[in-house]
Amino acid sequence: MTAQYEQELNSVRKEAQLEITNSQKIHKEILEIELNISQKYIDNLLDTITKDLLAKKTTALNSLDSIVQSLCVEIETRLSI
Amino acid sequence: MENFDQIFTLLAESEGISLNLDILETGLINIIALVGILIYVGRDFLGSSLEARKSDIVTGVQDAEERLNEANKRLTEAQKQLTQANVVIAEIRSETIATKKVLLNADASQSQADLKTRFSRALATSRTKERQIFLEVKQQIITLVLKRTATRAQEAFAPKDRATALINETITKLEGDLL
Repeated sequence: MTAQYEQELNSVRKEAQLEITNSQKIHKEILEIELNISQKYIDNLLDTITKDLLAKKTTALNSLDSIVQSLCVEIETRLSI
Repeated sequence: MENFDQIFTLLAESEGISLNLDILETGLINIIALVGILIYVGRDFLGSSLEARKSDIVTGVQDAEERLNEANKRLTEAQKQLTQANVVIAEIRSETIATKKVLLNADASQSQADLKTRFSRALATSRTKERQIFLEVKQQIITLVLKRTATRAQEAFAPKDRATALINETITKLEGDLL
């Protein structure tokens, strides 16, 4: 009977260890998947921000010439050159 | 087999089976005397034998009782061990849950820190790009203004009389300041 109890105890211990290992493994896999999803989200966000910045840069450079010319005219007028 | 069959044949031929009441002929006295002698002679032996037998039986009963008590003790101990084993099993299960919680929290914290690092890195990259584009636009503005200024200066001071007038005007102003 004692041997049976000890066997049952060992079985429970092994079962607990296995449960912990499996649980940790599954949780790590879930976290890995979540991290990958987050990394993709970050990459997409960075890509969007970069594209937006480049578009704004292009817009600024395109309108820069006229703006500078307008400012120069204004400065010349004020200086009465 | 043949002799056995002859017994029935003899019985059938004789008068049959009957009770013999002649005491002397049947030897009843001898038998009674023999039994009496046997009882008289074998009394001590029979008594001691019965005593030994009684002792054996008592010993056997006591042994059986001891074994019963021992079995009861063992049963009690086994029940105690069963209770202890159940307690230990419950403890192992609760410890398993606690360990799982601790490990999962540790993994979650590590992942959270990793995610925080990734977001910080992405934010730094975004700021660097923003700064770089700002500097490019700024450089472009400076270049345009310089070009425009140089062009305008060349247009303004190209005629000699205009340049001479400006130089004289400036010198006059300087003289006035100096005086």
